[in-house]
Amino acid sequence: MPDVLQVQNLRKEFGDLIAVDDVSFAIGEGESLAIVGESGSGKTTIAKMIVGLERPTGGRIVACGHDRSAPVRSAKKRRERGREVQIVFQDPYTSLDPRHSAEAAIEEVLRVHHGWDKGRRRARVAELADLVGLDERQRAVPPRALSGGQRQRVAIARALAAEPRILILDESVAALDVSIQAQVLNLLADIRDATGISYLLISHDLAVVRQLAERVIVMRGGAVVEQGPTGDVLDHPQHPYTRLLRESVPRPGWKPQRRVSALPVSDRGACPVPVW
Amino acid sequence: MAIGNLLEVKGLQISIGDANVLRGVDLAIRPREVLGLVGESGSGKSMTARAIARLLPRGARSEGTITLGDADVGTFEGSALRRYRGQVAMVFQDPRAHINPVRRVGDFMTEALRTNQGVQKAEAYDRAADMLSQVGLDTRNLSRYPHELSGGMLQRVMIASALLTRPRLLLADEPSTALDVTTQAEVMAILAELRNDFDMALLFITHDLELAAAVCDRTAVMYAGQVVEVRDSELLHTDPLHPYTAALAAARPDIGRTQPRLRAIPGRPLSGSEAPADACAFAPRCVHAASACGQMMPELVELDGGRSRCLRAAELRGTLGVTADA
Repeated sequence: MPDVLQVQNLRKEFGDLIAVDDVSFAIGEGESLAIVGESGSGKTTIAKMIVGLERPTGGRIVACGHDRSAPVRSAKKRRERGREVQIVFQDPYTSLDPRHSAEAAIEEVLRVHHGWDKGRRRARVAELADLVGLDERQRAVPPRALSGGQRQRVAIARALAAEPRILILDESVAALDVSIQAQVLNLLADIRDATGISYLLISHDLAVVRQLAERVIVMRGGAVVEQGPTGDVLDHPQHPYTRLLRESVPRPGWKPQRRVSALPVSDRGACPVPVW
Repeated sequence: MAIGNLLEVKGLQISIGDANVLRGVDLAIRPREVLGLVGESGSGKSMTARAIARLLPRGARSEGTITLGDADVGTFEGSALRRYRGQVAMVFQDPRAHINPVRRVGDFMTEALRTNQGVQKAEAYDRAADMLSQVGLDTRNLSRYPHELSGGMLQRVMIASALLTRPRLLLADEPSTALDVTTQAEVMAILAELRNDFDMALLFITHDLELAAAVCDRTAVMYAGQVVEVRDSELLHTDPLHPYTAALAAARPDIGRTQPRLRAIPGRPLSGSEAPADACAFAPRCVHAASACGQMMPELVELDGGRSRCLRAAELRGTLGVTADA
């Protein structure tokens, strides 16, 4: 399984704050890797550096064999990068152009990235809309006429239109209703089976991670504290922080814990998250 | 009013413009119990809590009754309403949207005590300080501004200020949803402790069936503006009474294993205003639906210690629980 994405010794500083500290991982073709951790752990900053919305302070990012640690100048090069990595954000209410229908949003990506003629673009829009389960009405209306789940499917179809090798899902199913979330997770698994796409899944929901990702990285305060096959990490967490995350998930007979008593002092460490 | 209930909601219907948001909600909250109220977006769970709190949006029309003890909550005005707000308090999902950003935490916390109950400033501050330490916050936070506090800290401020009037019922609308999982656990731990210390009841609203099952004594499940099931929480996953509850539990990914495929519920959740008046609203998505389900509206009836709004509920007894087949 050749690696489609390699991240080596990645580092990001915002002033005095080290948001990402020496993070390395690789994702193979058709593989899914999850990054879990809480707000401020650096997981979204990593996603932003991979797609080029933030510039790394140090380290290296290679996607499909091309180094993308530094920004490119030309539109042509940027589009090439767009065909390697796409991202779907958490909030489908703010990530779509309010004036564009699903069809227009998907078609724009096809025009920019593939330069196909109108007939071919139209056929592909219909295929992608079918793939994510948008009906005729939903394709034609602006985002304000769609529910959150429908909007998120538009965002996924739009990201897939560029035919990326890697799709970053940044809390992309977190805001969805449970019944819709299951539909979208099944859809993502189908798309991976059909296209061999790789996923980088950023999530705080360990059950979603178990369902979609084979490997997981646990981050805290910008650094990786544990990583491994998802089943091993969730069933036999080694690091105290991973154990705390695992124990914070509600289950029958669950006794919620106050954090300070739950984590030994030595493990609270140099963490930018306030520990009351 | 049945003996032993703290608060009862009967036949609550709410419409806003043309939209029927609630279509006849029945609920009973017992003293000192934690009652979960679970549902997807548009099911009407928040609107139910707002109706109980007398915080309905302008222009909302309501029918039905809400009673606290012997009193009809809908008739409260002026001083009676202020007294009621001391007895039934509410905390919201997004504390930052409900705390005045330009006032200090201490001013926010003591406002209700001073204006509604005429408590002197010094005493109000003492009580606020005491309550802050009960939720695990340093009393120095009284002189801080909301932007200086994290989301988890602000939610503790909200809870502390809601409890200052010693309410008999706390309405908590997704209080932990916007928080990190470990912070969520803390907030839930604090709510559980304070519920014990204060002898109060808690209506805990969440979209998370697992969380409700873990922290609530009983759970009511809502769909399309109605309660479709009420069940002891420990039986919610293993022995549910309504096909929707069973389908919701089965659709969630499992932290303990990777499933070949999730058992998604087809279609999307209906809001109350989209639901048919003369049929089961869940029938089009229900694997157990029979032709009768599309022809009449089921009643919420007593069944095996709980309640279910399903025509086939008795027939389906014992077959709906989460099984290890998938």
